Amino acid sequence: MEKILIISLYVVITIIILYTIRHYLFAFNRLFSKPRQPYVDIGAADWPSVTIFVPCHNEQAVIADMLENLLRVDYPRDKFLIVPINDRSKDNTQAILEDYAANYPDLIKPVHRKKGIAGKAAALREVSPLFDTEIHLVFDADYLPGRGLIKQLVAPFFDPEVGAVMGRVVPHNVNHSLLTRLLDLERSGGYQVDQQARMNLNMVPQFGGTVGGVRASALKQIGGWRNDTLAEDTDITMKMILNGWQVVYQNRSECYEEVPESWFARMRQIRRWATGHNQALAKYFIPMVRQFGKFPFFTVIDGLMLLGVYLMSLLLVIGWGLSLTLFYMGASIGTGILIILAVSTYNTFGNFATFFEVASATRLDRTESRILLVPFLSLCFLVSLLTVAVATIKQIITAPFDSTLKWQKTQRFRNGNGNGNGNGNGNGNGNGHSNGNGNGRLIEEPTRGYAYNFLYVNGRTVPEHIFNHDRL
Amino acid sequence: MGTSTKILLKRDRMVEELRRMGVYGSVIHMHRSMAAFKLPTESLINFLGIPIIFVLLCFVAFPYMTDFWTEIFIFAHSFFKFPGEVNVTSYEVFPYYYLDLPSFTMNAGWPSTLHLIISASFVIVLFLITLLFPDRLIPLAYLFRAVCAIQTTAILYFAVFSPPFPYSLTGYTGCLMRAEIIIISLTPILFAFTLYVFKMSLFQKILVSLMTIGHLAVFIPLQMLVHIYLIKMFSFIAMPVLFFMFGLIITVFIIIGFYSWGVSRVDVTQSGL
Repeated sequence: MEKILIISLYVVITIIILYTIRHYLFAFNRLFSKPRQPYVDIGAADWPSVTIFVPCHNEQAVIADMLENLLRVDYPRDKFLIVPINDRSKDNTQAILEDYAANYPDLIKPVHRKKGIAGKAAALREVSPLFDTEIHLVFDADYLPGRGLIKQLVAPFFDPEVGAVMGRVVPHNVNHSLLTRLLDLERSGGYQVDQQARMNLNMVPQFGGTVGGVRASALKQIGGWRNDTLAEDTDITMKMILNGWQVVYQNRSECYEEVPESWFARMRQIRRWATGHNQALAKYFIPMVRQFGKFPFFTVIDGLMLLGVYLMSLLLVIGWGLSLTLFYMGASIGTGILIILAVSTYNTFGNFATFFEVASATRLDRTESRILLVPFLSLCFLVSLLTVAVATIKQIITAPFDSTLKWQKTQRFRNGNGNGNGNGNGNGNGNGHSNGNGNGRLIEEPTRGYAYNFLYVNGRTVPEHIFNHDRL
Repeated sequence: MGTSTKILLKRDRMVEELRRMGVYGSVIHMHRSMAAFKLPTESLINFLGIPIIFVLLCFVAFPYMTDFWTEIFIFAHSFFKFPGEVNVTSYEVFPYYYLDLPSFTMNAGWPSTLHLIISASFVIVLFLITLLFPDRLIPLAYLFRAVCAIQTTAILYFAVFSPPFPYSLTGYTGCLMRAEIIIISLTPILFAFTLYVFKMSLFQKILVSLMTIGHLAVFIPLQMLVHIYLIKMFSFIAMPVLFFMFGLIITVFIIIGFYSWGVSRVDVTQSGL
């Protein structure tokens, strides 16, 4: 019995060490390698036609800002179309969308879903085949795309082997609370280091399902969006890779999002991610293993590790359980000084890896004081670890392949005063759209001479760089 | 180096400066997505040199440090009026490297029924309190619940099994201290990989390492005394939670704290930012 437990513990530790090595490898690569960002600088080209899908469910607090920003992008007007997919919203979302559609009939064509499976993946599966453009981009409703973002995201598709592109997600409500600050650090590590290092190393950058897009022909070839998953992004990533398409991460293509401002919302979000990701693990682990010998060795390894990333929480909890059991049994997990040396080294370097990755990212992001919060990330990790572990256990017991798992929308926190229909169409309800000019035209902000762009938030036009200030 | 090479290098430097020159003498910063650090020769020398020097210094200083720990233990022994006496045992901390580590000759007891009841009540009350925590205190609630979970395993173990407990207080102290000393000596190596590779002044690099090691040298004996005091007071039932939640993990987080301060001093202009 004791022997079995010790061997199990060693297996758990070995897997954790592999992930630790991966953290260090990614951090060093990102810190000291030139970032690979194909075609990011293309400004003038024969741009392909693009449909921008914005799935919405009760998004009255944020959808107007999203559309305002999309209407300001510098992509050729005759080449792009905005398709908000209203998925049974019970609030004012439909009215807001209809109002925008009336003002911009050539640019905005909302689709209102009344039946079918609920959720983002199902909405995309149903609606995307209706629009015959070369590129399909997807944004969540709470995002704030900058002026040049669409061109940057579309540019990598000039490479015919590219099937999906992912941009960087940056929180804009960072200074709200400790949680939002910690999530900013976590996102920073995830995108600035993790994703970019995968891109540099020709591994598997993950398409995140928002601030990104897919080539319509590639999407068709792989069978379109799946509506039986909670993580359609991981699903698309894996299907693209397995079908020989490349997934590109574009670090320069930053888009602002709203991170959860309450721990409950955060836990709900990460529970959904974990459940969806584990569904992808169950579906694609074996197909990915079969790619050994066909794809580069480290691409397959990275693909497998990416699939298993949410299983790590459960594995860590199992590791703790095994350690506790062996502790009570008084078991010797090795002999003498060497085992103490190994345990201490593992504790030091193992626990440190993620913090190093985040610290590297924040340094590249040029934030100074926020780095001091890095030790507090342990709080975030503890909550995530236990939430994900419990969600995974529940999923294993009840439904590892369940396709009927309920989609849980992430709660929005932005001040909803700016959501109405007043983008300057003369019937504004005094709700914060203070820059409306009364004739339904867009406000053209002066960008010449500035090193930054403008975004539209809460009814105001603000320079993009205000989100980058570095305060504790 | 030939003259033509020098001219080319000078030209490259000038082009680089021109690229970053903004209006009215301002500097055009590179976008963060494009930035990457360089690994200059100076960093590589620091990367190898500082940890080697520090580790060697640690090996020289450890006997003095453990003498200091012994003094602290002697003071605590008389202050808390612990039974028995302070014992100094020679342990092999690294292969062929021995240190004299202090401990107490006293041992803790197997928990009585009263200990079990108090401990169970503590777990129940603590868990119920965490249910009342507001949203912003959720991380603290999870931390307390983790403590409750480990403490529950301890209660179950001591309720079901009978003596002897596989560990003694002296053995526990010696084992934990050895691990902590190893962590101290690993700190410069860890910083070499994760901090010294950045552009910082040599003084700052040495300062961060000295501060971290100095802090640990004072913290560890005090941490050990708290552990010993609580285990003596509440019996062995307190040992699992102290070992798993407040042992090596605390030491590592102290290092992370100093590291985050150190890395905030890194010169980011080196990255083109």
